[in-house]
Amino acid sequence: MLQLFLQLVKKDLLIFFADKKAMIITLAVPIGIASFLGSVMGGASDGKLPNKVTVMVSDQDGSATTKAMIQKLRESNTVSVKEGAAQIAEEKVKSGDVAVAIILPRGFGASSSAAMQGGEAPSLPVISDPSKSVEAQVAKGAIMQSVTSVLVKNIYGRAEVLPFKIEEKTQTNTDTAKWSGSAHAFAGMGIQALFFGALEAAMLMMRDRRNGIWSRLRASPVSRWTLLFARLTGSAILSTLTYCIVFASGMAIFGFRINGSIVGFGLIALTLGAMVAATGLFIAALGKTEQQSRGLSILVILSMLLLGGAWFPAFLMPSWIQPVSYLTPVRWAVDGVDAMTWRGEGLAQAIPAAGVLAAFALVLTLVAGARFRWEPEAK
Amino acid sequence: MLTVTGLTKRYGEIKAVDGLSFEVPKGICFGLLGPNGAGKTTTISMIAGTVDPDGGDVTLDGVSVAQRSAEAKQRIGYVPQELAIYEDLSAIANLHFFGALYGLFGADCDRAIDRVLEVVGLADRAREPVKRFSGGMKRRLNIAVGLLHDPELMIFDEPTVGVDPQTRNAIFETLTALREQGKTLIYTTHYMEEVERLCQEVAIMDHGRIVAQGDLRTLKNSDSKVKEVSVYLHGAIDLPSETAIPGVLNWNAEDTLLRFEMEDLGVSLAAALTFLCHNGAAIISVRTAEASLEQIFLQATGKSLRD
Repeated sequence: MLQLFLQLVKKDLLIFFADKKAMIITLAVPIGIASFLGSVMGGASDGKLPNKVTVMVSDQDGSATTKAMIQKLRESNTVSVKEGAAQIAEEKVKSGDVAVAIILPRGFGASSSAAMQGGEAPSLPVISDPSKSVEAQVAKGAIMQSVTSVLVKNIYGRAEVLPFKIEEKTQTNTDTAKWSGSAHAFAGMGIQALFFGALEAAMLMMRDRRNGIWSRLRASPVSRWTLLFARLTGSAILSTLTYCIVFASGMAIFGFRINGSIVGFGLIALTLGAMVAATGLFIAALGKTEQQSRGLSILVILSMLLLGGAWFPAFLMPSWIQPVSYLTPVRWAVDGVDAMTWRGEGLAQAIPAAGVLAAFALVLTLVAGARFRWEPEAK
Repeated sequence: MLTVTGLTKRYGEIKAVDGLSFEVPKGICFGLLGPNGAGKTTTISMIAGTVDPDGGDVTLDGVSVAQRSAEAKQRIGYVPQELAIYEDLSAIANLHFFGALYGLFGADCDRAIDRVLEVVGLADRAREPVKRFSGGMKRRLNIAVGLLHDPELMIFDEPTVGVDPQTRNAIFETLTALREQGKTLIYTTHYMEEVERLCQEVAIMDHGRIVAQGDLRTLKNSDSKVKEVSVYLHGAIDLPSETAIPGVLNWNAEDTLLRFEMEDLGVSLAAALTFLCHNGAAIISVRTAEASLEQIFLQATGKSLRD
C-alpha cells in the first residue's frame, strides 16, 4: 500500500519537475513581486519611517527664531524640509508634489514668542494635500514639536525643552526582532503564489478529467480516497516546498530571519501547503468547466488574500474587517508566519495557526472527496 | 463470462442506459454499436466500474463489479476513447505509474512494460516524453496502459478515432493478436468495417437499449433483414419510375442492370422476377448479396441524425 501511495505521489512530483520553465516561473514570479513589495514596504525597521515626509517651508519672517524653528524641523527624523516662496509652496501642494507646506508669516518669531507670555497667538498657515492625510498628520506633529521647542528654549534658555522624553521600545520575543515589511511581503506573496499554483493544479485536474485520466484511475482497483489523498499529498509537498524556497529567497535578498521557532515555521508551512492543496482539490471537485471555475476561484482567492492581510498588514484595514479576516485561512497563515519570523514567537504560538489551517484542509478535502466528479460530462 | 443484468443509468431526466442485459462469452470480441448518444460509453463505463449504475449489475465470472470492485477491476483493462496518459511524462514513467495501480512494481512491472511496449511497437521511444509523440503513438501507448496488467477482459472505447491508416492497421493487428490469445474484448466504434473484421458478436444500441444482437452471420442472414438483389438484363427495361415491383422496397435501373432491396428473398424474389418477365425483361442472371452491417445498423436505429 505504501509502495503504491509513494508511486502515486511520485508521479505528481515528476510532472512538476518535468517542465523546468514552468517550475522556474512558479518560483520566480512570487520572489519578484515580493521583492518589489518588500522594497516598497521597507526592510527590517529600526523604528524610523521608511521614507520621510517632505515639508515645504516658506520663511517670510526671516528672524533668528523662525530660522531656529526650521533648523529644528530639519533635525526631525520624520520629515525632510525644503524651503521656497509661499506661492511655490502652495503650487507644490496643489500639484501633489509635497504633502504639506507651512508659511511662517512676517513677524511670526516675535509674535509667537510674545504669545508664550500672554500675548495674542499668531496664525501659522499649514497647507496640506487632502489625499495625503497620514503624511499631513506626521508633518503637523513635527512642526508642532519644532516650533514649541524653539519658543520654550527662547524663554527658559534650556536645550531640552520638553518636560519628558519618549523612550521607544518594540515588544517582541527577541531583543533583535523588529517589524520587517519585506518579511511580511514574502509571507503574503508566498501564500498568493501557492493559491494561484493550486488554481493551476485544479485546472490541470479538470483537464485530466476531460482527457479521461480520472476515469482510467477510477477503473483501477485502487480506492477513490487513496487516489485523492495521494493527489493531495503530492500537491501539499510541492506547495510547502515552493513556499519554503520563496521564503528562503527573501531571507537571502533582504536579510530577514526566522527569529522564532523554525519547527513552528515548518509546521505552518506544512499545514499551509495542505490547506492550499485541498483548495485546489475542492475547486477541481466542484468545478464544471475550466473557464467558470477559473473566474470564480480568482475572485474568491483575491478576496481572501486582501482580507487576510497577504498584500498589506491587516492592521491597516478598517476595524470592522478585522474579525471577518479571521474567517479566511490566509489571515491565520500570515499571522502565523509573522509570529515565527519577525515577532520571534515559539512553537506554542504556531499551534493555533497550524491547527486552523489543518482544519480548513480537512474540511475542504472531505467536501472535495464527497463531491469529486471522476467522469467527463456524460456523452 | 461477462454478464450484464438490468443495467440502468440516469442523468437527470435522461435515461442514458435503460435496463440493459446481455452476456459476452469468454474469448470473443464483442462489438457494441450505436449512434451518438445511444449510451455505449455509459454502458462500458459501468462495466469498467468508472460510473456507478443506478440499477442492475455487472459480473465477471460471477464477481460483481459493484460489490467486489477491486477484485473485478483487477481483471479488466480499460482503454478510454480519450488519450488518458500524462503528456509530460515519458512512456515508461506513464507505464510505471499505471502499473502501480494494478500492483505491478519492480522487476514484475519492468517485464510487463517491456512486453506491452513490444506489442504496441514503442520500445525504442520508451524514454521520450509523450508530448513529443505523434497522435498514433499516443493512441498506441493509450492501449499499452490497458494491456499492462494482462487483464482477462479488455474494453476499448473507439480506439481508432482520428488515427492514420497505418496506425489503425497496427491497432487492429494488436487487437487480433489479443483475440487469438483468448482475451475477451468489448469494442465500441462507429466504423462498421472494423466490427465486421474483428468481432464475432455484435449488439446495436439505441436510446439506452439493445435493438439488435447476435453473432454477425446470424444478424446478416436474418430473414427480417434487407437483402440487395442485382438483376442483369439482355437490353434495357422500360419501366416507369413509379412502378411498384412486388416485394421490393426500392429499385433503380441503369442500362441493363436493375438493382433493388427486399426484406424476404424466400417469399418475394420469385414474385418480383415473374413481374419483371411479364413486363418485358429478358433476365440473364440474378445476384443476391447479404445485408451489410451498415444496412442492419440503419434499419435498427433509423436514419435520422442524432447530433
